[in-house]
Amino acid sequence: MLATVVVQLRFHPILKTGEHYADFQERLRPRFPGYEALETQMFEMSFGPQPSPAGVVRSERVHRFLAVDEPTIAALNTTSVSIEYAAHKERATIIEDFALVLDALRAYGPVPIRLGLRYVNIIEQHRLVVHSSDEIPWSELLTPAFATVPAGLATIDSSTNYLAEVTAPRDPGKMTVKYGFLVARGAKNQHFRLDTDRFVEGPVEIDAVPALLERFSDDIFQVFMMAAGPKLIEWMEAVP
Amino acid sequence: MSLDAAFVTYLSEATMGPSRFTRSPQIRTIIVASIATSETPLPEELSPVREIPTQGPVVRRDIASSTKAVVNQLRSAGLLQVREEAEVMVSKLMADNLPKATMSRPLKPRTK
Repeated sequence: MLATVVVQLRFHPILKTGEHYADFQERLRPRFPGYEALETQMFEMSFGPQPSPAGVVRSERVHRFLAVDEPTIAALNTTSVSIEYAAHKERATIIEDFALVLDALRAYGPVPIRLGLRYVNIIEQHRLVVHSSDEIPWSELLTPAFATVPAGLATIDSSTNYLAEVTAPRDPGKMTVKYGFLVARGAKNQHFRLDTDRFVEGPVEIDAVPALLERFSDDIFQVFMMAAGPKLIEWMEAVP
Repeated sequence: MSLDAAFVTYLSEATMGPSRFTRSPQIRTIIVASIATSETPLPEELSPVREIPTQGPVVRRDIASSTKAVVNQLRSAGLLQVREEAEVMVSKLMADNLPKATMSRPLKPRTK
């Protein structure tokens, strides 16, 4: 049900991370022994009332450090460090892992400009069976506020898809919640996507990051509990 | 080919700042990793471009012109090796989905 968790710290560019990533890897190696490099290209272009300038292309390498027996990846480039989880992890593990990454980063003197924590939940009706083999209706898996199309524009059925997005201030920072019924490419059935991005933009104290991630996790969990209907909670409690 | 088309359309709709994507030289596809500066980036397989809510793209005239600008910029930067088939497909998608221009005729003054 939890598709991914991403935690990312962005900072003003540090060019020496690209040259000395081996030192960074050495700090992470006990937890993330695997390694791969990805060539990436940043394309910058702006639209708006001003005439559009020519696109700017920057190429760089992203260093990815892989955990061994779980789908978890830490990544470093000149402007950000992140960890992606593709399987559920306790909040304490996420914060501990990111603290490890930040400790390794500290040697480069990062000047942070954004911290974000994002959870994506994909709820598939056919996977959630509590007592019988019957599919549980969406109205019992989700609370009414999330199981209805905003503004009552349509009635939810198996062919009505939508994606609602709300960005609201949250002290400190903001929270973007995207939710709705969608069909993945190649899939037959709808799923419900609950995608919560909690972030703060601007200066961030490195020492404050663990406490901020705690608060962000609380906020994201609160949104999840606002969306979860009684049968979904029952199913979660039944899962060992 | 469809990914190229989706990418180009989505880029012009959603990008508000620097976009980051990776390109694998082996398979010549573009992988969208992040589409806006105010977003914590997701792995490519969870990118919203994979879950377009509508059955097909609906292209407005203003984003159609932006899309053309994006393609031109990408090509002149040597970043996107747009294949001819992909280009034909994008053009066709746009032509099929653009709102049709309507002719408006001035009303004739009523005569008794």
